[in-house]
Formats: sequence, structure tokens, C-alpha cells
Amino acid sequence: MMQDHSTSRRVFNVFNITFLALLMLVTLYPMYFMFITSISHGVEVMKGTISVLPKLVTLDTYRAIVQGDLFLYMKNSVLYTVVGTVINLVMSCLAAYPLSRRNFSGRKPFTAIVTFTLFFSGGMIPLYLTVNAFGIMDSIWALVLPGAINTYNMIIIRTTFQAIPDSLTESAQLDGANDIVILWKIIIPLSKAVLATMLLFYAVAHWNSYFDAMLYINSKAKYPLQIMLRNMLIGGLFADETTVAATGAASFSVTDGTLRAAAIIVTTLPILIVYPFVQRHFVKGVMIGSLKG
Amino acid sequence: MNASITDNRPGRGRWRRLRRVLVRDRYLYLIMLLPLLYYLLFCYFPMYGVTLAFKDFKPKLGILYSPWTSQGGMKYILSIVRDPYFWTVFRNTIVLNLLNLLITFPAPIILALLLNELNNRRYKRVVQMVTYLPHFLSVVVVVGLMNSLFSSSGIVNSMLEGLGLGPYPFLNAAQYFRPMYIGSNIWQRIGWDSIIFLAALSTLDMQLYEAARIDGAGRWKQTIHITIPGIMPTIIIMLILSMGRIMNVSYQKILLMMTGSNQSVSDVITTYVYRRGITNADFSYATGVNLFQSLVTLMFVILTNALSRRFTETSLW
Amino acid sequence: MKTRRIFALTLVLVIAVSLITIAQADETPSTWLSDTLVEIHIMRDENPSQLIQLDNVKLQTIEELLNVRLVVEAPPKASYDDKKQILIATDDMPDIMLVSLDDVKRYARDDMFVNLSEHKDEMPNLFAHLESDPSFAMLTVDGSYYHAPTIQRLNPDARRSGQLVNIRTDLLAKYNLAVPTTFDELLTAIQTIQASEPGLIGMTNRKGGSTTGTRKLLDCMGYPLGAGSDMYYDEDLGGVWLYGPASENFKAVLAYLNKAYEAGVLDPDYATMTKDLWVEKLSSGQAICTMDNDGVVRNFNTALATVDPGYMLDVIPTLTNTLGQTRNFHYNEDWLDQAWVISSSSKITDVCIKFLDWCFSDQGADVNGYGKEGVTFDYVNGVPVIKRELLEEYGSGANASYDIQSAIGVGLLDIAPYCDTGAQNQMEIYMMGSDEAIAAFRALVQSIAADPGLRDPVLTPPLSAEQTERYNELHIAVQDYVYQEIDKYITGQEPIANYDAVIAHARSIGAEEMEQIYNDAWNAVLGE
Repeated sequence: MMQDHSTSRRVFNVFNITFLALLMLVTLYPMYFMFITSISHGVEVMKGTISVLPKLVTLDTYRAIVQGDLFLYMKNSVLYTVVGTVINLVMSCLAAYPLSRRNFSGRKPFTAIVTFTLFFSGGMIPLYLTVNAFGIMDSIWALVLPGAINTYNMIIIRTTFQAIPDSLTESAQLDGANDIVILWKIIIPLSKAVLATMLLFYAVAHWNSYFDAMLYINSKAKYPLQIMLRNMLIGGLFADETTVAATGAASFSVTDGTLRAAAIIVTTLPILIVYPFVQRHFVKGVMIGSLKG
Repeated sequence: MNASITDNRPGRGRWRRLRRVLVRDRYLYLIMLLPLLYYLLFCYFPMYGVTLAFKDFKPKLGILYSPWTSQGGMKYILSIVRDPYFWTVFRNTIVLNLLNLLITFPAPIILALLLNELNNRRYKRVVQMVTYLPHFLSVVVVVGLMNSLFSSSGIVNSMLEGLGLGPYPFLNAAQYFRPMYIGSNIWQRIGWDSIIFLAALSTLDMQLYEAARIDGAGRWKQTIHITIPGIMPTIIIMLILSMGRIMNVSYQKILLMMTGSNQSVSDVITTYVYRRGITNADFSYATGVNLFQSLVTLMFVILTNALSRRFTETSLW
Repeated sequence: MKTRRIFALTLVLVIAVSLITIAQADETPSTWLSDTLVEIHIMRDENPSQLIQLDNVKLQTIEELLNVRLVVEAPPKASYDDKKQILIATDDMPDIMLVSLDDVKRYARDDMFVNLSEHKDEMPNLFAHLESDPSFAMLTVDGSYYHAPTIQRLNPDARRSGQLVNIRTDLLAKYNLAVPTTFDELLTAIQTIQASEPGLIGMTNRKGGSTTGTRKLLDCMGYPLGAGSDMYYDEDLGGVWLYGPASENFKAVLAYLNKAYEAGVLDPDYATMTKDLWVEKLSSGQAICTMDNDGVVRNFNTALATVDPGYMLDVIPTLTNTLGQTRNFHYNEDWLDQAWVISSSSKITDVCIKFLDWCFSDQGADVNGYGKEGVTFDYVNGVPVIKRELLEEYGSGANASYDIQSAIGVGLLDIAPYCDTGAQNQMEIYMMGSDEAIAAFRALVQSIAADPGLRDPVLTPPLSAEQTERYNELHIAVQDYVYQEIDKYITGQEPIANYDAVIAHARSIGAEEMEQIYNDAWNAVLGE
């Protein structure tokens, strides 16, 4: 990158760096707050005394999460996320590529078929019956097949594919490459940045989803993590219950507040780990021109 | 395109042309096969569920065999369009979402451009990593945070009082609801939403910049003439897709923010349906509302798409 | 002659049948509900406080006793409503399922559940309970029971809770204030404390689950102050159903809350309070008083003790309101919103009916409440008592009273339609340790039980299909209107006198008709 040395440039840089630093501060603090909350004693959290540093540090909250087969659920979640994301990406690319070819004879009808589903859906009941009819209830397929393509994401991929100059594919076609080869050898490598983003979007959606699992999974041993985490959040200790006849004897090292915070940390952690790998694809621009030759 | 000229039997020619095209595009059709199967099985086959909007749903009979409602199947649709309160929440939904779109849509683009201008790569990475974090906070946490910051004794009002202003009923008064809702949305989504634009930025051709620099264009001019046009297709398609969600509002956040005083502006279709659902799990009513929402959304998208077609090359179809 | 022969023949037959029956009884224990092992699929929600084990002492005991194997499905509580709705809507229910009373009323007419009244003869235990209390008639749909409600079998340590007045009694003592007996005295007492300790919030509240802070405040305080926050039964006005916010006495409620607001007693953020902020204010000693679930509020003493060991939030007896009424509700003794239904599509409805009825026998309550005799509990003077070693094993955990129930598989949060919460109660008492603590707890239970102001909640009358539809339609419109007005009167933007116009409008758009529907339905049931 060539450096600009004009004064206005320098002023802009100072402003830019400061602004982004402020933005970082206001976006980082709440997550940091969740972290210190999750490792503080529940009573301190209840009293609202935590602001900068954790108080009476304890891992009880994480212990409370672990007691309910956390690792089994985590394993399930990882499996569903990996399988689901692979299917999502493959299917989305398969759908996006033909729709991105301007001279594809089926482009118009297929585009109509696909776009229609953005607006209209049959709803929960017939979908449930469909999944039931296929006999995939209570299995991983019930979680990864009904949502195999997110049409929004697929359209973003299609737009990216469209932006790739025709000259690249035409020369390959002249060399006798068929569409499958072109998709695999030219289109996908050139769209890595967007595909990496879609991978992130799809993976995060799978990792955070609980609704499908709640509908289609009956065996406890097949639950994903989010179902258990959500239960801890919503049905917590001080939920609006008419049944609680507590006596004040409990110690409250773990409370709704600490559980919620820990659940957010556990949910975010894998993304924090994966993101740098995705990010790598954003930093260096693809030299489309160099591929042309 | 000259098949019909060589073959003077028009019907035969159409078939032959079709066959030729099918043969030419056979790989594309092959590639499309699996996705098409998916759309048919999981999107179109369950579509018969839409008829619920016109039926008195009896679980024992199932959707297909449930009887049509009174008034020629239009009972629920009519009760929706004749309900004056529905039009209030309909207006609220549109106003809230359009304002939200207008204000939150440019924010991640600007962030992506600002990040693009950073020379220090490590700083750029760190900013990216940090700004998307709020995306993972649950709405309960976000609204909880807002409540403690903006309550009558919260930090914001304390500071304003220090300046001799306020306290302002940020959380309760109707006029503050939309700014609070939209402001917190920007804060929560700016980083995450900028990812897609960053990805688009990274696909821009470096040679264009080099050429521009040789021509003596400064950073500002490069941004205007290369960067923004370069990511325009992404911007447009994201805008059209956002239009596709014009009727969707997550009811959870609004329910957490709603008070009696701000209900006149905060009540939207989803919260209204949710409230009705509590007393009455009305699948038919909810389906009817969905159908209505779909039609409105479709109109918005067609409009945006037509505008986009006219002024840019990008379009949804 | 002929009759004689028939008589003899019948006698022989009867003897033969009895002999066969006795012979069979030798093979199969008389308690078995079926000769072959039957699997009943049963579903309820899992509360995160008490995990539901899929194999435990209780389930084994049931299998031995009844030759019935319960296959338990327990979706998490947070997702249960959606799961339940879809299973009902697709007619894909397990044999027995826990639903809400609303679900019963909504789907019973669509024949989704077995009509238990048609099997009254096969369910003597259940119907003995249902007929013991005439108010249970309010649970019927078109005169029939389609569900078994969760009924409590009282044990000596059970206690009742309610949305009661909880106040910092240490502060009352510090400023030599007598325990208030009226709402006006409460206001003066709080003002006196606030005069010496500025910065303390007088009276605070939380947000109601999916509704607003205002609604929750009125849910807790409306009826005690003079008029309920929604449809309610007013005994003091001669026994009639009223829509509280559109009734004359509601002005007294608003006047009091307005006075409290302007005096700085009512939390200025009452309309926007969240649960977290409520917990924070009460457990850090920032608030003086709240009217809410006393069991939950009592928990805050644990946190308060870390601020100052002298702090104490305690329940005080029911206060007299400005209309001279002394009244409040405690929670219902039973859990009538937890309804057990049998799917009408089940292939083993006969066994399900027998099983559900068994649950309502004393043996059923013992097994579902305490586990297996000799293994997890013993009878002491005829009362089930959890074994000491089990109390010791689980008693050290932070969540002991639920952990022990989870281990045995018993209690309200497991499968116990006729519910004895003894295991939990006995664990709580075990954990109190000192005799003084136990005595103090028993005194509290006693004082709540003896409070004359606390009444049993009144069950809403059963509505017909048409009444339900009409009522729901009106209710949402009236409720939406009224609750957009109320805050103006509490905060003093509008004088209370103007509320007459709100009442008049609410009555004209449906409140009147709603009351009519309820009173008609109520009188119809009482008339039978």
C-alpha cells in the first residue's frame, strides 16, 4: 500500500483510529462484563456490584453447566454444525452457480421458484409432518436437511458468482471444461472471501439454533448444547414460579445472572476460535487480473 | 437461434431448440438437480399449509381435511383486515422497520470502509474481532443493559443531570422508543453486518487501485470511484434482501422494551400476534397474518428490485 | 323350574370365573395393570432446577408394582410450549402428556384428549378427589373432565406461598416503627425510613414474564388494593366477576399508587423494571418493600446478609386497603394449570386410564413423592419419611432440595399428578440445621396459614366454544386500551377523576360483555 502524506489524510487517520477505538470499547465491554459475571459469585452478581473486576471468583457456574452432560451436548452441537454447514455450503453453491449463468436456459424459472420461497412458506405444521413422513425424525437429518439452503445466503453467493467476469469462464469453456469443472476450479476459488463469510453465517446459525432441535429431536442424548443452555436461561431460579417455596438456605453461588453470562461465553467461544481462520480470507484481496492470463 | 429457419415445421423446431438448449445446459441442470429437489420437498411440498389461513383448524382432521371457515373461508382474513388495531400495529411495523433500515443499513458499510482505510493490519483485525461481539449477546442482556444505562438513576441520566438536564424517561416515553430500539440495533449489529462488506471489499481488483494511483487519484477519489462501485452489487443485493425482511421484527426485543406508555408506537404485528397467541393458539389467524405479511413484503421487494434494475445492473431476478 | 336352572348355571359360572381369576392372581400380582409389560410414553417439561433421569428408583418401582414401563420424554421447559403445541396440532402426542389448562380448554372439543368423565367408573381415585371439592367443576369442558389436574397431597411440612407484602423488618425496627396494618400505614412507614435514609427506593416491582412492569405491579397489588388487574371474582361486592380496571374500585387502586408515586415511595422506574434490576435492588439493600412471591423474595436475605448480617426481608400480614378491605390471595394449594391428559390417539388408552388413576391413590402419591419403601423412605407413624442417609448424601449441594428429588425421580417437577412435596420439604428442613431456624420457619408457615386476609384463589368459570372466542376477542381489545391509559394516572399526568371516562370507554368496548360472559358461565356451573 502506498502511503498518503497529506495533512487531510493524517487528520482522517487520527479520527478513524480514534473512532474505531471508541467503537471497540463500547462493543467489547459488555462481553467482558459477561465474562467477569460468569466467574463471579452469584450473590455479588445479584447485588449488582460487579463492574470492572470479578468478585469472589468461582467456577461454580461453569461446574453447574458441566453437570448436565455438557460435553455430550457440545459434541452433538459440533457434529450438527459441521455436517449442517458442509451441506449448506455445497447446496448453496450448487444452486447459486446455475442461477448466476446469464445464458442458462433454466435461469428464469428456477430464479422464480427460489425467490418465491423467500416470501411464502407452508408453516410449522406441514413441515413437521413432512419431516415425520420422511422418517428422519429424531436424527441429525431432521436438523440439517429442512434448512439445507438459506435462500438469502444463496442469493448473496449467486451475486458474487455473477460478479466474476465472463471472460474467465468463457476461456475455460473453450478449453473444453464443463460447468462442474468451472464451478470447482474457477468460480469457487475466486469467491473464497464470500464463501468464508457464508461458512461463518451458516455455522453460527447452526451453533445457535435450538428451535429445530426442540421440534424434531426427542432423545435427550441427541440434544444440541443450545437447548440446554436456553433452558438454564429461561427457566432459571427466579423465574415467575408459583411453586418455589425456597427457604433462604441456599448459598447462591450460581444464579440466573451468572448462568446467563456463562451461556453467552460458551456460545461465543467457538466463534471466537473459528473467526480468525475466516478472517484470513478477507485481508488479502484476490488478484483477479493475474488469473486472467 | 436460426433453428426455425432451417426447419419450417414450427412445433418441431421448438422441440429441437429446447432439446439443443437442454443438451447444452445439461451440466447446469445436473448441478441444479439437488437444490431443486430440496426446494420441492422442503419448501413447496409443505406449502399446502397456507390454506390454514382459510380453515377452521382441527388437529384430528389435519390441514387438508379441516373445514373451510365461515364467510367462504375468509373469516380470519376478514377479521384481520377489519380489525382497526391491526392497522395500527401494521403501520408501526412498517415505520419502525423502514426507519431502522434507513439508519442501520449504511452503518456497517461505513464501518467496512473505515476499516478498509486502516493501514495497520493488526489493528484492523482486532477491531473486526471486537466489534462483532455484541451480535452474540442475547436480547435479554441487551435490553437489560439498556435498562440499567438509561433508567432514571442510570449513568446517562446522571450525566445529563450533571449538565442540568433531564431526567428523561428514555425507557418509558413513546417518543424515545424508536431511537432506543434503532440505536441498540446499530450497536449490536454493526460489526457482524460489516463482515459481508469486508468480504466484498477483499475481492476488489488491486490492479484498479494501482491504475488509479498512477493517474494521481487520492484515497478519497479511490473510494468514490473504485471501492464503492466495486461493492455496489453486494450493497444493492443486501438492501433488497433487507427489504425482504421489512415485515419481520423479533418480538422478543420489543416485548422486553414495551410499556403501556410506549405501546402506541412499539406494538408491532409480531407482538400483537404473540399476545393473541397467549390466550388463543390460533394457527389459522397466525397463518393469515403471515400470508398478509408475505404479500406486503413481496410488494416492497418488487418495488426495490425494479428501482435497482433501473439504476444499477444488479437485481434479485 | 327354568329360573332355577338358570340360577344354578349362573352359580356354576360365577364360581368358575372366580376360580380362574384366583388362579390368575397367583401368577400375576394383583397390583399389575396389565398382564404383559406395557410401555407408556409420557411427556412433561424438564425444569433446569431438577433434571429428569430416564431411569430411577421410582420408575423401577412403578414397573415392579404395575407392570408398566414409563418411557419418559422431557423436553426442556424453555421449549416445552412450542413442542407441546406442535405435537397436539399434528396429532402426534405421546400417550400421556402434561399440558396447561388453557390447552385442555382449547383442544378438548376437538377430541384430542380422552374424556375421563366417560371412564369415571375406571377412575375411582381421581374422581374421589375431583368430587371432593365443588370448585373443581370449573375445570370441566362442556361438563366433562378431559384431564387430571395436579392435586396436592398435603404433608406436615408443606407451606403455602403468595404474592405477599415483603418488607425490610430490620429497618422498621431501627426506626421504631410498628409493623403496618394498613396500606396507608405502609406508605407513612416507608416515608419515615426514606426521610432518614434518602436514596432508598420505597416500593419496587419486577417485569411480568411477557407483560409489562405496570401489569406485574397490578397483578400483585391490584386485588389487595381494591380491584384486580384483569377479570377477578369479588366476594366483597357480593360475589361477582368483574373486569378490575374497568370497575369503580380501581380508582382507589390508582389513587393509592399515584400517592405512592408522588411521595417518592413507588419506584420511579416501576414501568420499566426488569427482573434483574428487581433482584439487584432487593438483594443489595436499595429497596425497602416489594409485593411478590414471598418464597422468592426470602432468597434475597442470603445476598443481603453479605451486605449487612442484620438485614432482613420478611413477610408481614395482609394489609387493609383504603376501602377498608383486608384481602389478598395466596397461591392455590393445587397446581391446577398442570393438566395431565391422555391422547385420544393412544393405542393403550385403557392402561393409561388405569395408570393415571393409580397415580391418585395413596400408594401412587407415596411412590411419586418418595420413591420406594425401605430403599428411599420409611413410614414413621404412617407418614413417609426420606431416609436420613439420602438427606446426608445430597444435603451439601447448593440445589439440594431439587437434587434429591431428581435422584429419586419424585416431586412436582417429575411425574406426580397427585403430588406430595415431602421429599423437598424434608430436605429443606434438614438443611436449616439449627432448631431455632426450623422453629422460625414453622412460625412463618403458621403465620401465613393463620392470616385471615389470605384467601383461596377463585377458579375462572368454564366457557363454551362461542363464549371463548367472543371473550378472547374482547379481552385483547379492552386490555390493550386500558393498559395504555393506566400509567398516566399512576404518574399523575391525568387526575384520577378523569379515569371515569376510561372506565366508561372500556365498558363500552367490551368490559361489560366480558363480565356478562363470566357471570353467566359461573352461574351456569353453580346452578347445576
